[in-house]
Amino acid sequence: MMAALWALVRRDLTLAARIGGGAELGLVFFLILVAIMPFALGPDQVLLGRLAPAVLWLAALLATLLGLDRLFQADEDEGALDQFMLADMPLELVVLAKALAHWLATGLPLSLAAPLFGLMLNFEPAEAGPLVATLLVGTPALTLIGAIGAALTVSLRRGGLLLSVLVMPLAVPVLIFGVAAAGAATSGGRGFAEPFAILLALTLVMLVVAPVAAAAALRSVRE
Amino acid sequence: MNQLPFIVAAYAVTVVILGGLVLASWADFRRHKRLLAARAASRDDAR
Amino acid sequence: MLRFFASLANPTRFAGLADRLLPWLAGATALAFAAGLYMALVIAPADYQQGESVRIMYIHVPAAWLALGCWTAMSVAALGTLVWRHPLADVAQQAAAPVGAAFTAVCLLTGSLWGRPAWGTWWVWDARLTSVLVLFLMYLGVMALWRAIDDPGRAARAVAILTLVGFVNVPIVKFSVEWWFTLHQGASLTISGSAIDPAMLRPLLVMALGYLLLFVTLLLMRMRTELMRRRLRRMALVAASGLAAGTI
Repeated sequence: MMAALWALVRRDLTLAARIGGGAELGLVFFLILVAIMPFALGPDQVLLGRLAPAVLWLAALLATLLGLDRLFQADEDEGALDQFMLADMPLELVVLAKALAHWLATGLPLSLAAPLFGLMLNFEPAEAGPLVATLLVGTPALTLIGAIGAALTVSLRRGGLLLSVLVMPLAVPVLIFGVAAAGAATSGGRGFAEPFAILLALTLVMLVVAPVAAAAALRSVRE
Repeated sequence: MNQLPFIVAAYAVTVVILGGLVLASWADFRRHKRLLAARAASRDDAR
Repeated sequence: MLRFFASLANPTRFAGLADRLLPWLAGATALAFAAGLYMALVIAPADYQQGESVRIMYIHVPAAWLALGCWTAMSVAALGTLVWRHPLADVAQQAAAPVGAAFTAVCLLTGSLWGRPAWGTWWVWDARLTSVLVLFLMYLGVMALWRAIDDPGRAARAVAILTLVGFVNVPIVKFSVEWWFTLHQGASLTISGSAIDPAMLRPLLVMALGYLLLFVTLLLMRMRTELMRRRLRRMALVAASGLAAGTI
């Protein structure tokens, strides 16, 4: 069964790479979001440096949402979703595998590129470690929450906007603790542990809740 | 600060929202009842 | 009790019961509001700190209670949809969402209008305000999802899952925003949770009863409407398929 799940992850990654909208496009979107921020906020170096963790986190949230509406829809269109349901592995694990593939293609490259893009926002590279850590721990939760929304809107032709409306309120706690932990690290390192631990807890909770909810949503469409 | 306008506005907003919901729900209720009655009548005619 | 709920699966029986209850409920709602408003606007004393603006509390606080209570009711109905497949639970979920959204909107708007004279600002990113705002957004999401999915059965199950996820989420949001607010100590304003004087508590409870009765009345009425809408829809579908088959 593990082999089948790995095959699924590999398949999704290959698809993401071939169709485009995989890692590169997500990164480009992330870069654009970072690039337009100074135009909105002004070129003040001090201000940008203070807001950098928040800006990077917001950009990560939006870039994660990008393309999430196709997470299950592509499989639904080509009938692969029916095969997953007939297969003897639980649908919950299929959801988990697909979420993992989505995160590997968006969340992971985003987190690793964040310090680099942070340079443009006057973000000290020396403080990049905690920022990357918060993004690495937090973005899986965003992907998993998004997977619930993607499963709920799987049968809709234009689910993208609705997906964002459904997912954003659920993502508020992740954003709060992610930005708090990243911000605490830049302002001297005090108060990092607590929000970081809660962020980790949120991701773990979502690791359990999201596959169950998303699988239930996918099944409900079939009945 | 004169507080009266705020109190009046708060009560007015509440009345508008909840009253609007009540009126809309009631109108919808009546409309569907009429539609259903009309349909039942037309079915009797056909018979 | 269980048998009672099972018997309600019959739409005609539910419709009969609802039609008999509705006038009484509507009357009780009107009475409770009349008494509550009189107590809130005439009898209740002005606050020694806030002055007359405390009277906004009597419409604001019950709205907040009902906003949360309505989501809880929707979650129970969601369980009814997913676990027991009770046909009425679908209808209850659908009927409750706009009512809950309206209560949440009332809570937010009156809170804003209360905040201006009481704290000198329209909006504070206080824990309670922010969680209610998130709740409002989730109500809008639920309503949007209802609208997006055509088939009522499918829509009910999808919304049920979203409602239950939201039910877990609301306390998490409350906790996180509280934590976040204490982190940003800049704003000095919090809503005082001090003990309420009985002279203010009594009107508040009567108003809350009015809100609760209004909720039940609206819920029953909207459920009745929704059942009739579905029946009309089925009749239209049958008629259309009959036409297509050439039997008429």
